[in-house]
Amino acid sequence: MNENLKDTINDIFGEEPDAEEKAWDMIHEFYHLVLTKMEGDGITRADLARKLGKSRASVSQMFNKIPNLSIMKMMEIADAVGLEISLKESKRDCVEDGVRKRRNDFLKTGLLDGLRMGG
Amino acid sequence: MRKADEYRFEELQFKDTVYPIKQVFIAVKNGRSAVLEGLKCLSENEVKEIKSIIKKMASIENFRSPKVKWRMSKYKYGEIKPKGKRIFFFQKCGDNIILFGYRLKKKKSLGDKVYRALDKERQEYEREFERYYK
Repeated sequence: MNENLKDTINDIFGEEPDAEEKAWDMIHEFYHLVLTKMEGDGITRADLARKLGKSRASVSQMFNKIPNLSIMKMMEIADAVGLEISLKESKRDCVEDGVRKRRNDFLKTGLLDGLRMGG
Repeated sequence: MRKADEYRFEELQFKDTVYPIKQVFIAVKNGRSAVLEGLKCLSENEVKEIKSIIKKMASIENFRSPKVKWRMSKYKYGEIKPKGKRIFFFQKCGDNIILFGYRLKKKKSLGDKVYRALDKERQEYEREFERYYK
């Protein structure tokens, strides 16, 4: 009986994760990041629904949805080529600031070059 | 005379979680585990989803999920609700998570009677777990 129990535990929890489980891992990490961000910034589900232009019900449904096929497919392909995919949080503001700075630098340089060329 | 109940706690080892921040155990009473029996009723996909949730609970600090309630408002245990109808119950003992209960929700919500009974179970398991690991 004890051995059966251990075998069942091992069958369920001791196996290497497959593509489907990795997809679940990814979706759970994704929602953890989203919910942590929402809590940190005081964003409610109603706010999120408003921002997405969706009803509150559809936002709730979204939080409980199974991973869609494209995520599954993605993990299957990644697994097939021996690639590990993980979700990483990046500060969106910083990225946007960086893009803005690079654009401004480009414009400045471009203008200066233009002036130089024109001068 | 009634034979004393025998408790055991089976530690879960995950292949892809090398350094968990919490240890997860499955409570076994008299050679039976409600959690394992509950898992056996589920489809393969549902089991994978739950396994993934448990892994994240063990490896992410303050893991947040719409499917996990770390603590009920009235009781000292939490629940994992992967599909609404099927609910797994757990408790935290320090840095350990003990999965101890499973219920299939038949009506709109489980009544307080069920939650009270689960709390009794929780107290039993908590007491035994502390004894087990002292």
